[in-house]
Amino acid sequence: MLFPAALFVVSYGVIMTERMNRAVVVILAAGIAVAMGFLAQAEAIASIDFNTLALLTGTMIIVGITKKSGIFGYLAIRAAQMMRASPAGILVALSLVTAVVSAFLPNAATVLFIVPVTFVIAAELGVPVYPFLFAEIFASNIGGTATLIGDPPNILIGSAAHLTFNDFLLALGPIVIVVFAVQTLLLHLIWGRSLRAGRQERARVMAMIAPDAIDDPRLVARSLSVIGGLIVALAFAEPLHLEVGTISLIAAGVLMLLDLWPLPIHSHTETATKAFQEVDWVTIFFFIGLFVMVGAIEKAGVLDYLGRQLLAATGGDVEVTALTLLWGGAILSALIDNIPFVITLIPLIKGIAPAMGGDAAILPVWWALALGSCLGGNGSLIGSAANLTVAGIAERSGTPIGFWRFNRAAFPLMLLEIALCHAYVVWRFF
Amino acid sequence: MSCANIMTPNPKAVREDDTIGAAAREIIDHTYINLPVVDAEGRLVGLFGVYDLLALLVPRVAVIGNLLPNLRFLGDDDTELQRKFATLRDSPVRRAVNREAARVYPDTPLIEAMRLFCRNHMTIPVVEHGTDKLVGMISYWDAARYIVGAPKGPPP
Repeated sequence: MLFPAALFVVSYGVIMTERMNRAVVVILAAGIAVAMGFLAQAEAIASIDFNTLALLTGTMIIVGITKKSGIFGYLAIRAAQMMRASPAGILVALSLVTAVVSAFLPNAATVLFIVPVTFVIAAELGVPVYPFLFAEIFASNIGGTATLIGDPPNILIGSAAHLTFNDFLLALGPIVIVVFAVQTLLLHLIWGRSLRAGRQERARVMAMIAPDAIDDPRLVARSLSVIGGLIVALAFAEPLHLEVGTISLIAAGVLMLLDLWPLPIHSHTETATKAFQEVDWVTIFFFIGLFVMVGAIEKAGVLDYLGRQLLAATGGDVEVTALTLLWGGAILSALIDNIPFVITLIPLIKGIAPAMGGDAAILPVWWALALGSCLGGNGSLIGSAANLTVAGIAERSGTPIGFWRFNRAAFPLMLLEIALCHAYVVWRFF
Repeated sequence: MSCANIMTPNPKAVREDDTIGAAAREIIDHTYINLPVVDAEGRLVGLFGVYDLLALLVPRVAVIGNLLPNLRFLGDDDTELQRKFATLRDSPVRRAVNREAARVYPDTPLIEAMRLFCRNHMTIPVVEHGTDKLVGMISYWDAARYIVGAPKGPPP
């Protein structure tokens, strides 16, 4: 038990130093775990959740093709114009667009499309871009919390606990709306109400030609049809007897086919290669390595041991366990990557489920873990992939966000979000 | 064959505290692709070229990576571009200088300069070893003329 645990802790430590690519660390550690016989190769492969990987890969391909259309720029400009180019209104509108899109597409991808247009709009208005970036980071993490496909922790939890798209929407949707509303109000009070733009500057935003942001109208139609179909199919995954990974890959395949259809046959391979290159393979291999690592410590009995400790600490009480994971998950997610610790906790929670009354009884634990790990990402600039994406764009655009500047406002706001979730979990599930 | 053999010695340069307006005028009047920018001691600071001039007027986020598919949605307001340039005209050129631009030494082999031309599509300043003082400029035309045996043309 000691060696697999030590390998796991050392790998985790190296990841936290951020001095080496995280996927490389875990793939190497997973390889060592197999080579040292902590688990056989067949067991290592069996420990990989291919349903999660398929869902992630499919949505990444869909996003990669859709982004060529320019639809996200169109949405952002339209949202700004619907607010008559008032900076305070735009702060709310762009947050809303980001939250809604993030619920159905990966957060990091959503901000990658909305943030560049935000820079242009803020520059035209002559107002600082930082409040908008802050609001969009928060909105992307909040929106992603609402659905099964919105954020990687939800994908992992949904796949492991056999929770459907509708389960997530019904259980987490209401509190996500409340958290978003409170957050938006607070950001208005902090920044929105003091943002001012002159008449000329606002006229420039109103004069933007939103349809011209679209590069390929046919691709917009195809992409939106496929994304719409994906959402409907995910909502009906249970009666369709299909896993979410299968649905996601079918949707990606259909969109790739529609993308290739009008092109000459000799360019199909090049176009398909570009679509596959849109997959974030670092993340995919990070997941693969972590699944194997967690498989190794599970087989060694480490998770059983930790599960017994957790049961002893919480007295086997579902409510105490759920709230512990809500707060603990949130704080840890702000400090470290939420993916490894969610992957580690999933088998641990499944292991203690029988002692807590079975799968149905521990549902609140899953919801608390999802809320904590997704919203916790708002607590610091390194809390989620979306945060890092925005920070990267801001830095390259000459307006760096600043780690502590962000964290000073973000961490207390995140704690407030979790307090709201605490009240919701207690009220709704106990 | 080294860069010293084909470079234009003592090229036209602007000082880093010259204005963007003056540097822009120099580029336009002589249709330069790039102008070397030097400090008070004649050390190379970087290059200021026609693309750097135009990039001052385009949102920076639109020229890094492929983050924005296009800027057509901003419309066709040329007076706005002129207004933006007017606000920058009196700023020092150091604000817009490309400090990452490649540089070579007089003894750098021509093949290395050709590799840089193929990668960057830019003229290259030649600096003195150790001091980084500007001693010349080479252009892709200089390299091409040398290779095909054509006579040396006007300075880049």
